Amino acid sequence: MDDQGKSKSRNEAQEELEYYIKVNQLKAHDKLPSERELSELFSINRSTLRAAILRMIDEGKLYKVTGSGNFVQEPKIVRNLNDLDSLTELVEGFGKKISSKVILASVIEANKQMMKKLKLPLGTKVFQLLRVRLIDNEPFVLETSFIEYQRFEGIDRYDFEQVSLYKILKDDYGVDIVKGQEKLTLTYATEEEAELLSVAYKSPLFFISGTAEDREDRPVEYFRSVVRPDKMKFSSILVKKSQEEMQHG
Amino acid sequence: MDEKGITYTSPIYLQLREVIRTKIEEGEYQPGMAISSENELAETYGINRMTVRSAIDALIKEGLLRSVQGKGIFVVGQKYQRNLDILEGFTQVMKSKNASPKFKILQKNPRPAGKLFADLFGIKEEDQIYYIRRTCYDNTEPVSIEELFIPEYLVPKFHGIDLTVFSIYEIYEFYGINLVKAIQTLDITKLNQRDAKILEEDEDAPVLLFECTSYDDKDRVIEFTRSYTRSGKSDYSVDFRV
Repeated sequence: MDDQGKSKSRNEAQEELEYYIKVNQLKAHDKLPSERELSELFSINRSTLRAAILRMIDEGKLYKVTGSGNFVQEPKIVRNLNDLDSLTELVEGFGKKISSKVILASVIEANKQMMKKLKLPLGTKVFQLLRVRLIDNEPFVLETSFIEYQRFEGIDRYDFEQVSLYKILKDDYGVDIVKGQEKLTLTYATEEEAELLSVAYKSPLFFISGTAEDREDRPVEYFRSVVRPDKMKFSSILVKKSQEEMQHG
Repeated sequence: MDEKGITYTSPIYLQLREVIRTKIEEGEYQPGMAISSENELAETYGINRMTVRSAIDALIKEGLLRSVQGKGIFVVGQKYQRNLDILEGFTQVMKSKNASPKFKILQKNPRPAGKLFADLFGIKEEDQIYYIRRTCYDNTEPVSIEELFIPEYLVPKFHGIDLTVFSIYEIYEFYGINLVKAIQTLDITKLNQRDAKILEEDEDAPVLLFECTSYDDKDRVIEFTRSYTRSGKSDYSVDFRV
């Protein structure tokens, strides 16, 4: 009912506001005009406008400072899942600094899940690396990697706070990660994740898991990450390719 | 085949079959729309229903018509041949593998594009776009709420098409629209009260917010969709390549 009739809907109010921000090139932390001014400008009633603002706050596009007004939120970093660009380049491209903190780096025995994902027999030695990645010193992703140890013997001796895992695999072991599959869903922070990511216990997080493969289709890494949705979102470009194109590469 | 050979001495059901075929070819019956009922056809041509049924059955077999229980007989548009069948990008994966998604239309109406969509679709602010809001079910369980925005100029007869009979993608095929690219984003947001009720979740429950802008082979923006998906009900998977 609230979407029909003559008065503008909350959707339309949000569209007006998004267009206003775009056209006026408002940047992160710029202040929006008052709700009264905006409702006059868009000819939208105050309660509809307020509902649109609330939704944009939920979507991480605006934030409110009590007694001061509404502001444009910093844009989330957009991670394109189709390319394996390193997180470092991506984050630096947004003009921010990325760093890593190693929580755990150890050689363990493959359990059933790792066995399936890495196609290794149960009990095979696997290098497990648990890292928190930080943007401008704020944690945003907790990443666990599992790698077959025998194939990459000595990998446990690197300091992964200083070097990139994929770069080591390539430069020191001659293995190029070229493709993979991953799955994204929503999860809730466990106590440990909440602490490592500085978020509230049970707050919503992205959960990403998948495998990365080399040129010979051999799985190299099985990974599981949890990501803060207030810092990052994901994108993907879907392209239809003809079979011919696929066959020719 | 033997269409050219149809004369007044041919069996009645074959003659009626060609009448319906002609109406489809000449556009009197538009893709996505219901044809006259069996009773109406029987009455119009003064023939019995069994004969009408035979004519329709033949066209259903040819794939020109589709019968939907309790709804009627619908015209299936010509599908454009294409060899585009490899997709990359997010694929929504339902939790229960054998269920096919079902939709319930909550709202479907034309509306003015407004500034944001005029800009996106490259049309005027006062031009019409279709707005569709629907719930997607996995069996009987609501999984997501989906909103679609499609400019009217691309699908002028859209209003008369029953979206529970045809998928949006079939309709694009009827209009010769060839989707080749989509830019998708996946985010997390919260449900508002109204949507929470529909999805049988608590208000403010986190959901996956999926947005998609689709382009055709002429680089036109064909649709913008937005969907709110309940956690635990569906995953998104993606293949990546360097």
